Amino acid sequence: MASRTRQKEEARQRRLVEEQAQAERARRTRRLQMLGGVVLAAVAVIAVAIAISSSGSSSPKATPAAFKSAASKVDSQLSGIPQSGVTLGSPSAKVTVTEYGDLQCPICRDFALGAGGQLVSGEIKQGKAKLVYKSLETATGNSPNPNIFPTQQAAANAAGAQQKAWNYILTFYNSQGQEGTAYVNQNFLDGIAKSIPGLNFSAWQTASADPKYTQQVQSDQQTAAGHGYNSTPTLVISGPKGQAQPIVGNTDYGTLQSAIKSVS
Amino acid sequence: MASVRLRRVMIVLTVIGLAVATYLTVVHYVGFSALACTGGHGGHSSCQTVQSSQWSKLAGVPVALIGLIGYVAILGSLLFRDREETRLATLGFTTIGFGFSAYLTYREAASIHAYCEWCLSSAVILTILFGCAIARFLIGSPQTPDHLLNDDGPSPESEPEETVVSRA
Repeated sequence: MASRTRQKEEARQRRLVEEQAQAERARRTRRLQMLGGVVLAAVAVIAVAIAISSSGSSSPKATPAAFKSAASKVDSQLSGIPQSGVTLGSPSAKVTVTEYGDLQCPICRDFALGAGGQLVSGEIKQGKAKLVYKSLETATGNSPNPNIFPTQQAAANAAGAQQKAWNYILTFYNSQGQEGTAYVNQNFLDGIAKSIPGLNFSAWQTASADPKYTQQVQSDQQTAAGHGYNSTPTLVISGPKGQAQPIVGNTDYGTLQSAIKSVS
Repeated sequence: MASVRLRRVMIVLTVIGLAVATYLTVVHYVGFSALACTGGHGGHSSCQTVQSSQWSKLAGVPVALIGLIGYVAILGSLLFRDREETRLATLGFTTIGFGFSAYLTYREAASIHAYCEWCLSSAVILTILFGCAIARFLIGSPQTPDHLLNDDGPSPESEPEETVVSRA
């Protein structure tokens, strides 16, 4: 009798141990399935994010259609504002905002598309201030082809011979590629010039070859070095009451307005 | 106990990551000239170069803001009651964060050729969080709730009650 009871107890124990082992296996399997499922879902999310991110990395900005679209937008923005050489705005405006820039500099682009654009639509259009562009090599120096700097800056200066320098500058900023890559070449520079409404391309080509424009770039660089400017954009604001502290880097429109007011 | 310690370490790391992401998001909207950065690149800071690059936004949304939202999600999953599901959610969020920050770090090295210390610190934090999340999920809690693995649903008496608030 006692033996039967012990046998039953042993069988019960064996069954319990087996059940526990089965439960443990099931638990482990389910945990691994959950882990696999979450990792797969996470990988899918990452893949979608990378696909979206990478789709923006190919540069559709350097196509004739993209140049034309950017140039047309800039032309509307600058409509009705006088230009003379590299100066945008009324020559009699009391305040002068001088921007030291590099056309490949992404911070200059951010400024041009942000506070700079507001400045153009505001004080420049109203005749309260004028905007002057000067060249200072920064980002282009880190590109695979730093020697393009005088050519690209002179291309903008040469457009100034037809009172279109700021059309060229802003279309360039709107068409900028990734910093540190070799997206700027003669085709890129020609593409911008061809897209600017009212710019005579062959006259611009002739002017671009004129050494006076590359000399102007060198002169700008020497002026910047003389003042100790080494970042772009550097904004120098001067007026009847003197000169404000130069603004280095991107800034907001309110800061620009305050600086203009302080020298007006 | 290892799971509890891991969780606390992860909360601290997530709060640091959240602070970094918040700072970068604020700077994005205030202006990059306010960005504190030691590296120089092309006449401006290397952080500005990275933050102004085309990879600094995803479908028009700043990646700093996406990172901020991610850290909030990770923190939420860590502060919620310690259960298998919440550990799994933490693992999911940290996997996404780790994967995408690894991709962005690759872009910094291969495409932008500049590094942002803030972004790198976030990438390191997410890497550690990812490792911790895997370990925490595999270790389980000291009172691994078997009932959660059955289809019967939880039984209140066996549910672990450890929360950050109760341990504080």
